[in-house]
Parts: sequence; structure tokens; C-alpha cells
Amino acid sequence: MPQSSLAYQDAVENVPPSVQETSSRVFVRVAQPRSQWAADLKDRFDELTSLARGWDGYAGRPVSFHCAQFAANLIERLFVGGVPAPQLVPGGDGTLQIEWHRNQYDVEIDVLDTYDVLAVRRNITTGEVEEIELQMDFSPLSEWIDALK
Amino acid sequence: MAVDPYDEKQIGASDTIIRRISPEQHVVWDENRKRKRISSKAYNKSSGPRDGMSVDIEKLIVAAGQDPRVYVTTPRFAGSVAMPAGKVRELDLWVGYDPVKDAPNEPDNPHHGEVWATKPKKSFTDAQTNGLARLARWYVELPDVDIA
Repeated sequence: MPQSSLAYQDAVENVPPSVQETSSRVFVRVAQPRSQWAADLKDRFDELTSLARGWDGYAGRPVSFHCAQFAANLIERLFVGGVPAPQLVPGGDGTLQIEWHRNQYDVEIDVLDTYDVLAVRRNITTGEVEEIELQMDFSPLSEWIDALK
Repeated sequence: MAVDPYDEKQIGASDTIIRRISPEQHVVWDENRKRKRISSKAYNKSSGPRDGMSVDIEKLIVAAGQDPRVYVTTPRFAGSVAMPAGKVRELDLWVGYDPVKDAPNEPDNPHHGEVWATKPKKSFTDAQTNGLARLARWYVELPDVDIA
């Protein structure tokens, strides 16, 4: 059985009781977190999954447990030393976008649900744009992250 | 989403639609450009195939005798950007009314509208989100933040 540790371990409000629950608290866990990104983003994940309803001025919901959990695991898989942790931007529908803007690239990975990802890379020097939809094989993203070094 | 996607003919090409921007959540640091700017996520739709992007319709707010800049910063302060409906439509998008009334956990907003894709999809295309960002002009400006 793989070990899990509490990568993002504070109380998460507004998340339906589900997979990982202790009393009224729900945690976003990453199996065997090893990267600096996991440490850097712990508080941000907690913030995003605890956003107040209407945070965007409309009907914005907090980031869903499922999107946060999947994004945390994806980020852990994509970790490359020498590249700073990504920025995380919520959608009003509980989704989450992972993004970097460095080394002449914009890389944006929109996590719409578990195993449902849309990713865009823009080369700001050439103007080239790549858009890919990912559901099972996320290996194309590794090359994109390597190019951010 | 309360209504199915459609294009509202009463929203004219020169009418202004307003998109609220959260200063805490929608702003990112862009190391390429060495500045803070609005994330593309702020210019995208919700992920349900027929969901849209929430906006406020300026002329409805004015017609109700309210100050639009006060309206879109209430009850929670937000920055906001504005764009003309006609230019939004040129991105193969629809603009329509979607008033909010008696929705659970959501304040009433009779001036609420949506920007929809013309075909069911999970996300606007990169060309559409970039197009919206290019059209956007500050309505309630966030200091030291670029629009795109």
C-alpha cells in the first residue's frame, strides 16, 4: 500500500464529504510528496479549496476536492528541479488552472476534472500556439516543463 | 446556468459587457513580461458543455438607475474589464441575458449575462480567450495590473 502524507492538510470548507475525510475536515493528499513544488503550494491549495462562495463576484465556488487532488498529483509528477512552482488560478466552476510564464513560454494547464485536462503552450517569441487535450497520457507536458528551465 | 445558450438581439453591438476580475485570484506574475497581469482563466467559460462566462450587462444596470461601477464592486470588491458585445460576437461567441434570482447561495443579479460558445464545448479556444483579453479595457482598474 503506498504511503500518503498530508501535503495540504488544513481544514477545507465547502467540500462535500468524500474520499479523504476526518470528522468535518477534508484533506488534499499527495502520495509520497517529494518536490519543492508540493511544499511551495501547500497553502495555496488550502486557500483555493476554501474559497468563499461568490469569490469571483458571481456564483464562484471553491476549487473542488477532485480537481485540487488531481492537480496536486499532476504537479508532483511534473516536478523539474530548477523550475519554480507554478501559479494556480481558480475557475468559478471549481476548476483550476496551473500556469507558468517564463523562458519565453506561457504554459497553461487547465484541470477541468480528474483526467480531463486542456493544455496550451504559447511561444511568445514566435507566436506559435500548441493546444492539447489530455485524459490519460500526460507525458507531453513533461517536455513543456523541461523547456521552462 | 439558468438558460440555454443563445444570442440576445436586444444586446446591441456597441453595448458594453463587464467581466469582474478578482484581485486576489485572477492576477498572476508574468516573468516573461516582468509584470502582473490577468490570467487567461479569467476570460474562460465554465466547463460544462453549455456553460458560459459570467458578465454584467451595463445598459441594464444604467436602466435600473444604478451606477455600474458601484454595482460591479458590490457586495464583494472586484476589478473589472469591459468589452463591446459586437466585438465579442466576432469571436464566434454569443452574448445573452441570464438573470440570477432566488438561486441558492448566490445573490440576485438581474443584470447578469453570459458569454457562450456557439457550440457545446468544455472551454473557449485559445484564440477566443486571447481575443477577449485583447478586447478588454479596464472598467474598474486594478492598480499595477495589466489586462493581458
